[in-house]
Amino acid sequence: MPIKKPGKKPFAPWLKDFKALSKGGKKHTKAADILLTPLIDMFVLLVVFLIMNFSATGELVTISKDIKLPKASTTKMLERAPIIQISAKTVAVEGFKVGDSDDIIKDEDLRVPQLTDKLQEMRKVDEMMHPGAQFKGQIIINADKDVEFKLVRKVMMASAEAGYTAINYAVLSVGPAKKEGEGGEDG
Amino acid sequence: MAGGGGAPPPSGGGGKKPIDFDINLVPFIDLMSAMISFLLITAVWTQIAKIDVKQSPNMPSEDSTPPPQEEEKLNLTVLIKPSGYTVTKKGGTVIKEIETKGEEFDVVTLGETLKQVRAEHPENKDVQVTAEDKVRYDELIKVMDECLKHELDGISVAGVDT
Repeated sequence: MPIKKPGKKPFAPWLKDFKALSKGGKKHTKAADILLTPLIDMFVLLVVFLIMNFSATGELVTISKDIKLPKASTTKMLERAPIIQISAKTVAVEGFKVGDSDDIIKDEDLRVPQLTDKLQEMRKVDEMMHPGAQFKGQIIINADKDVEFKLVRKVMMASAEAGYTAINYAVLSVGPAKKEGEGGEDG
Repeated sequence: MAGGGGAPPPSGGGGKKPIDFDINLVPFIDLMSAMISFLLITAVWTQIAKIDVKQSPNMPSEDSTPPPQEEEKLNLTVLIKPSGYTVTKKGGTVIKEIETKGEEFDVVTLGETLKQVRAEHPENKDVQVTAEDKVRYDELIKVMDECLKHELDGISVAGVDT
């Protein structure tokens, strides 16, 4: 029989389950659970809010600093098309400047040849890229709200001359935008 | 993320199984975090929409055939001048002249006029918006918005030679 080193003699081992007699009185557990309910509540609310705001089309029109779009409530959803930007200083097509606004306004001729040429060039590229497809002639006018109508009119004229006859005005929507062909028929 | 917990280990003995258990929340929170990150990255905060117009009558067109002349057309026109709006119909008959209120255009009265016209001619959905050169683009959009509110969705835009 092996010799055992004598240890601490337990005091009444049959009473060890009694808390009052165990060492230190009460035992505290160190691991604490984080309360997850508010966290999950917040997550759910955030997800719902973000899904409601979610737009599958993304951002088609980038807003530049010098263009403040007008607001409108009865609008339709924007579709991809070439964009003409009209600010108080410049007129640009897809980011390429085609002229100064002041010069275009001062010119008494209603035509804007440099803009028409640029749009015709774009139309040719579009027709080359989509052979056989019918040219839709969609264009988006992204104009600052304070520009004179004369400038917008001249741009519209140049677009129509180049074959872009379906003109869309980009606006900031203050209500829900309708999809193409939706609503307005129930009156 | 600890703390979601899991089913407690069996207490041994094999006879009795505990009735209450914790749902494992870790995958749920992971999914939520991934969704929130994705939605925040792809969120578009400014809602840009469009107002589309028909081709205006005095613009060049590729279609060489002239539009058919309809005698019954109302030819509703809203002219925007720096001094206010003029609503006219077939033959240049003035329906209403709406003066500006100080600097502001009276969009409310225009809306009422359009509503009245719409009630009188429910079949007509066309309107021509014309503006003088000095008018701000914002005013044109406001008028078009007002027309669309009253279901006049066949909008054409034209300029006035001043």
